[in-house]
Formats: sequence, C-alpha cells, structure tokens
Amino acid sequence: MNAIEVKEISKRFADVQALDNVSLTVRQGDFFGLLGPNGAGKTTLMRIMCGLLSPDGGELRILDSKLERWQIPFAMGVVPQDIALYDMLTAQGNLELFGKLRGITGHELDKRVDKVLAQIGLSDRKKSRVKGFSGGMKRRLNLGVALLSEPRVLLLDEPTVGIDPQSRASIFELLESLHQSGMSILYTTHYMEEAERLCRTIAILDHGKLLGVGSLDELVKLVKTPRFVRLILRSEDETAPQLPGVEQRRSGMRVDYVPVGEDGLSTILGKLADFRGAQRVEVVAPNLEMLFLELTGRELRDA
Amino acid sequence: MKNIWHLARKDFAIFMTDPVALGLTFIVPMVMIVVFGFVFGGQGKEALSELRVLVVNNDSGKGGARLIESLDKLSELNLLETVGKDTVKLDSTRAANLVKKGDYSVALIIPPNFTESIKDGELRANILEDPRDPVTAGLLLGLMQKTSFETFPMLMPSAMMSGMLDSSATMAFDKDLAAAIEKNFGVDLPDSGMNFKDMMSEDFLLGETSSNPDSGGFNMGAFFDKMNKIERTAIVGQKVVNPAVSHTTAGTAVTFMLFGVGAIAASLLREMRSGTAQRLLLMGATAGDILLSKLLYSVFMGTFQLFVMMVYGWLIFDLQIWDHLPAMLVMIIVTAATMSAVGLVISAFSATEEQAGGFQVVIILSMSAIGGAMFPSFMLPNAIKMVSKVTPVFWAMQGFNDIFWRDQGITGIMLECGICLAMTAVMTAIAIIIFKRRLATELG
Repeated sequence: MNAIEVKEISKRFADVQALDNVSLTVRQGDFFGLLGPNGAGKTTLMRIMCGLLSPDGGELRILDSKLERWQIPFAMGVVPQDIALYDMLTAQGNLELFGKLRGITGHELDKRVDKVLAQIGLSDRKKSRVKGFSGGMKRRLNLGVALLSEPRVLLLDEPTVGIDPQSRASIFELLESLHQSGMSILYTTHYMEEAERLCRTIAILDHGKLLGVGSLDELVKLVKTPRFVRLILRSEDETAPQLPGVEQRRSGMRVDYVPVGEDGLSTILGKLADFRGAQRVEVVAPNLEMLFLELTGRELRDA
Repeated sequence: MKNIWHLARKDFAIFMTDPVALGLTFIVPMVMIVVFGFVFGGQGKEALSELRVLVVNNDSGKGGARLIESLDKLSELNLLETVGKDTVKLDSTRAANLVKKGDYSVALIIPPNFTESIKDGELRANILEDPRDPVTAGLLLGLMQKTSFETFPMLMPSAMMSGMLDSSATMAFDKDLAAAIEKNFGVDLPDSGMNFKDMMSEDFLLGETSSNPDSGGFNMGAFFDKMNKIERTAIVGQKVVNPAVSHTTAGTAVTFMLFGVGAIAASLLREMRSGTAQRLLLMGATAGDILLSKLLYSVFMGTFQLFVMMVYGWLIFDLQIWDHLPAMLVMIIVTAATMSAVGLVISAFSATEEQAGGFQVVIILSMSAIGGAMFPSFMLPNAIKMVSKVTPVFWAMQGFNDIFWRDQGITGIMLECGICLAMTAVMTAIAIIIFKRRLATELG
C-alpha cells in the first residue's frame, strides 16, 4: 500500500513553473525526504499533497484513494513551515482548539492532548501560554498539533527551521519513534544532513523538477566525483600547497584535492600532513551535496 | 542623529512598499473633507438644506390656498401636498402618520375655517411635529408669520382693530357708567377726555411691548396671542424623558462599535501572517468557517458593548431602556451583526494592517456622519439623506429612534431589522468570496 502517490503533477504561478510533471511514491511506513533548495517547489508540492492547493494537472492518491480536496486534511497530519499557533492560548488550549476542529471532543480529546504533550515533552508546560515558549518548544508543539488526529501519514514542511541543536535532536528522536511505530512520514528540508540522517528514501527537487529518487546509498552511487581530500586553511591569506597531478578547487578557506587514481588519496594526505597553515584535513566521501552539485551545477546551500 | 535618519528612512521605505496604504493616506482625509463638507452643507452657498414640509389644506375658502402659494415661493421650504408617486393629496391622518414614522419632521395642517379666521384677525393652523427636529418646526412657524403678514395685509390691522375695539368698547362702557352715576347720584365726575392717544399707553407708542396689561394700553404679547393661533403638536416622543440622549447614546454606541469591529481585520491579518489561518484550513475549517467565526465573535462582543452603552445611558441620563427592553435587545443584536459584517468586508479587502486602518477610518467616519449616528439625519442635506439610506448605520439609527422616540416594539422595527439583516447577508457573502480569493493567492 502506498501512503502518497503523486503522478505527473504540475503547477504554474504566473510565469513561474513551480512544479513540472513531478511523480513520486511514498510507500506505507516509509520515511521519505524531499530535499531541495529554497524555491525548489517543495512547499508547493506539500500544499498540493495536503489539499491547500489544486494542481494544474496530474493525480494525487492518499492511502491508495483518490480523495476530494476537502477530504485530504482529514487523511493526514500536516506540520506547516510556520509556527502556526495562538500565542495567547496555552499549549493545552491550542491542542484543544485544533483537536475540536478535527472533530475530537470530550474525554477522547483530553486523553489525546495529554498523550501528545507527553510525546513532545511539554506535559509540564500544559497550562503555560505559548507566548512564553522558546523557539524549540513552539516547534515541538507545532508538530504536536499534527499528531492529535493520530494520522497514518505525516507531512512535515521544514519543521526544524530556526531552532537550536538540542530541540532539533529532540524532534528527530520523536520522528524516529513515530516512524518506528509504523507512521509514514514525508519530510521536506534543504538540510542535506537531516535528509541523510532521517530518511529512507530521498527525492531531490529543483526548479520544480524531480532530479532523482532513491535510498541514500542509491543516490550516492550516482555521484561521479570520487572521494577527495578537503583542506581547511587557518585563514584566507594562507597559500594552499600546489600538488602536481592533482585537480585542485579552492573556495575561500576551503581547498578540495581530487585524486586522479585510486591510490592518490593517501599521497595527498601524506603531502598535506606537514602543512602548517592547515586548520583541518579530512577525506570527503560522496554525498547528496555532491550529487546536487553535479546535477544542477550549484551547491545545495547556495541554490 | 544619523541613526535616527536611517531608522526614519527605513520606515519610509517600508511604507512605500504598500501602495494601497500610501494612497489611503491621502484619500482618507480627502474623502472625509468631502463627506463632512456635504454633511454641513458646504457643497454650495446654501448653509441649510431645503426644509421638507408636508401640507394639508382643509380650508374651503381662498385663504389656505393663498398661504400655501406664498409659502411655496420661499426658497427655504419644500412644500409637499403629495408624497412619492401619489397623485392624491395628503389628508391630515396620512400626514400625521408620515411624521410619526419619521419620514418627515413636520406637517402643516390648514384648518377648514382658515379663511374665516383670517378675517377675524387670527392666523389659525396646526403644525404636527417630530420634536427631535425642532429646527424645521421653528423655522416654519417664523416663516408662516412673516408670510402671513405679507399675504394677508389686513391681518395685522384687523387684529389691532379688534384689540382697539375691545379697548374702545371698554372705554365707552366706562363713559356710559360715569354718566349713569352722575345722573343717579347727583355727582359731577371729571370728564375723562379720552382720545386715541389716551387709548394707547406711552410705553406702547414708544415701542415698548411689555407694558402692564392693567395700564389700559395694548399688551403686545396678548395681541400676538390673539392673532397667532398656530398650534404646535408633538405627535411622537411625548413620553421621552431626555430627548437628546436617546439619539446621542445610540449614535455614539454604534460609531464606537464600528471601531471595535475593526479588530476583526487585525485579527484576521495576524492569523494569515502567522500561518494559523492556513493551519485552520489544514485542520478541516473552511475560509467561510474562519470568517463566520469572526462574525460570531464580533456579534457577541458588539451586543455586549452596545448593551453596556445603553445601560450607561440609563444610569447617567435616564435613557428609558427598561420600557423598551425586548425591542432594544433585538435591535442591538441586529446592529451588532450588521456592523460586524462591515468589519468583515474591511478585513477581506485589506492586505495589510495599514490598509485596514485606512479603510476603517473612511468607512466608519463617513458612514457614521452620513448615516445619522453623529448628527440626526434631519440635519443632513437632502442629497445626503438619499445616500444615507444605503448605509447600515442609517437603518440601525432608524431602529433605535423608532424604539426610544416612537415607542415602537419589535413589530415596529421589523423593516429596519430586515434591511440590516439583508445588508449583513450581502456583506458577509462578499467578504467570504474575497477572502477565499485572497487565501488562494496567499497560498500560491
């Protein structure tokens, strides 16, 4: 069974083609990452998937059913990019409001509110106004609202934007535990590290086009660049050592040495070992960042 | 100083990014100048608008028609013997009903014996008035007296002669009595030697009009009392304890309720900016649900606010709210709904809080001024009176005036309630359509 099935979906805003024949499938129980730079079309695709926008063309199936737009919000939990909470209400007040909109009432609502607060680690702040919460706490509550309806499919649109590493780790733990319990998760992000850590399946989206879909290993295998040595200089004024027969790329304090042959890596490491202007020397393995660079000619972070 | 300059430039740059708000900065005062200019009659040289007076001529002689003809020539008056598309002339009952309903402030009823009374030196007429508009009735009275003297030149001499004859008769009686005393009692009374000058007191001849009635001369007040038999009859509001308060309390409450409903726009814009509106949609609410929830909230708040204002009017000015409680509550709820719908329209059309503020000022102040919340509608020029009928404020104020002034119950305010509710439905529908489009744009 598929949790979400997107077939040849297109969407155009004025003269911008936001999505261009995008097709992907999120299998039941998968942790699916939608990776792309800002403006790639991730949020547009999310909004179509959760029923907020109509596509110009294509087909969408949720849990193997073709639903009407109004039915879609009831079939899944959605965590928007914005912290969409009422600051002047308490954590409990926010959860109760959104729970009632989903048709959950009475004792069942009380039970679910307590359960969600425990899941997101905010039981002790149940009666506190959201206004006084830290960014991380708000992000967790933002996620908690989507869990109230105990959805089988959860969509998260960049849920860790602007939070501290501790809160991010806490959200990751929660998502991993939800995934282990059988929930299908679609997670959009422009952070390669997040996709690599969390997602079983990753799709790379840029300028509304799907560039590749697969597991992390499958995608990394597509990277043409072999492993290389990265030298981080102490300062931008430092002159990097010139190594004959080695392709060399410099960007600020970062210098990448790409070996020509298989044994070139150890040779480069040996030659850089005594260089005093080095802050750090590391071997970089093929990753999604490289794949994105090869596919688009741009770095993911700079795109 | 540089920092202040940079910060000020930043605010200017931000403001320039909102062309609608920028336009409203200039449009708002321009609109208000026009609105208040027209309200206070500044559209031309006329300071006052033409006063509309219903006229019923019951006189069988020529006098009544002549008086109407003379009054009709005055630029200050617009005499109406028929109303609307009617071809049949008004009768006294119909004219009285129109004044009672508040459609007109004054009706001039010329009695059947008007011509005869003029011959007797008496100006007889009945002015049926709505005392809420003392200006029209007062002006009509003054103009009638002036016109009567011009139209019926013998009216004053006739009245004066009548007064003089009364005095001469008294003096003749006095003379006959003196003669009888002399004859029967054999005494010789001194000759009074009265002539015309003796008949008038010195004060009267010198223009003093308040001479003592016992002085033997004319009393000007008594003279006018004899001549001026125009009766003013208030046919509505007789029971109102504090007439001015019913209008000012309702008017102020309605105006400030309109300012209150402006909060809907702020709240909606905040929700859209923060993403909570989108989340509400994700949780199964519709754009209509979001707007109607704002309407409901505003109706509750507005109802409470208006009720508190009315109770305050009762506490401070003895506004008779308890005598009219059921009708007043109905009108309060209907008014709260209608004004809330105005707030919804402002919300739906405003993309920023600056725009909402601008629209709010234009709509609220102009509607309050034109609709009769700031000034009673009888003070407005006729052209504005026509325009005012498309504003919900006008119908809300009419409703409150019907209750407090015309002593109407729930059935008496059905028309106003119906119009207000129809306006509410139309404005809400428009707001929902616009809001849906805006949400679609925002999500895109």
